[in-house]
Amino acid sequence: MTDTDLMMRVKSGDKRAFKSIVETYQRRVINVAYRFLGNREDAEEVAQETFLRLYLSAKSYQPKAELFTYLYTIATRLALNRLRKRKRLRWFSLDQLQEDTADGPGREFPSDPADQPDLSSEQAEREAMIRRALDTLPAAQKTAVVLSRYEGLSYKQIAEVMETSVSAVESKLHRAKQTLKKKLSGYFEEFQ
Amino acid sequence: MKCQQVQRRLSAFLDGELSKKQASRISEHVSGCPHCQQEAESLTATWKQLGEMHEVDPSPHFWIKLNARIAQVEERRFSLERVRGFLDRLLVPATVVAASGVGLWIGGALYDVQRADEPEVWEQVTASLYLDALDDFPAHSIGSDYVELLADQNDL
Repeated sequence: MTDTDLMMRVKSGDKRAFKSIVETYQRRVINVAYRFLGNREDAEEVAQETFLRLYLSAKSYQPKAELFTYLYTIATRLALNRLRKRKRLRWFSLDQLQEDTADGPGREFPSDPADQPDLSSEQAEREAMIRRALDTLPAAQKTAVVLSRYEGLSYKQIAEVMETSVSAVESKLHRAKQTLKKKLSGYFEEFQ
Repeated sequence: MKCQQVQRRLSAFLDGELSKKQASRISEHVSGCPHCQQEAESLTATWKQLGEMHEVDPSPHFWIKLNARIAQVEERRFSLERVRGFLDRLLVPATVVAASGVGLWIGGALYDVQRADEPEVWEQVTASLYLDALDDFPAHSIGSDYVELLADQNDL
């Protein structure tokens, strides 16, 4: 059964069809949010909100685009909003300010060690470096990178999620890659 | 093609996003240009490095939690709809009562205005305003002229 068939069933109140959609996409949606937030609990909260919104808006669902495009659109917006709120909170938090001074600026989200219990310290350090590099990107560039690199979406699909043009996506990815190259090359050369 | 043009589209080329024609032009340039070749290798390495991030698994209670939230929202929605339904049912009778009240008030006011021309009503008005107190003015004074004028007008 296709996603559209399932959504049509959800539209008529079939909760089992909705459960099937959740089971198919929950991992992808959580991981998209995780790439932005770096914290599993927050990522899961965003995923819950994403599916809740999908369910509540099912009655007005129109099969214009792929379902995952719709899910990614909601999830990335919610994750970015949460990130913005977190930044504002950090601005007012003296504790965090002190932590920043010790850790160095630019960390939007510290990786929660509880999220990566099986990682070696070397791998954890690599991830932290990648996160810091991603954090330096503007929100739109980061979204394009997450959707392209981690979700394997084509430029056309990314453009649909971000509601922009394919050429704008190309330009964002080009600039993002240039920035990431500068940020990561030194670190990985030193590491290897 | 110039290096600058090639490098602007290198990212899309490496992601396999260009048409066959565009891709072959870029490929041709890159294979003959050490500078662009190095740039392509470095972008590929960066992209590969980004992949070194682990994924997280959804919690085993993801659906149970979501289902509970849906039930909560639906319950709230149902309560709101019930209140709205009750208000909708109340709206028509309340409007009729309000319109009747306004109609009665306007009707009463118009009736009073109409009756103001009747002599017995005029007596009530002059009594309530104590106009009788003006009767004892001396002849040809301003007060008595005023009372005569009023009497002429109202045939008193």
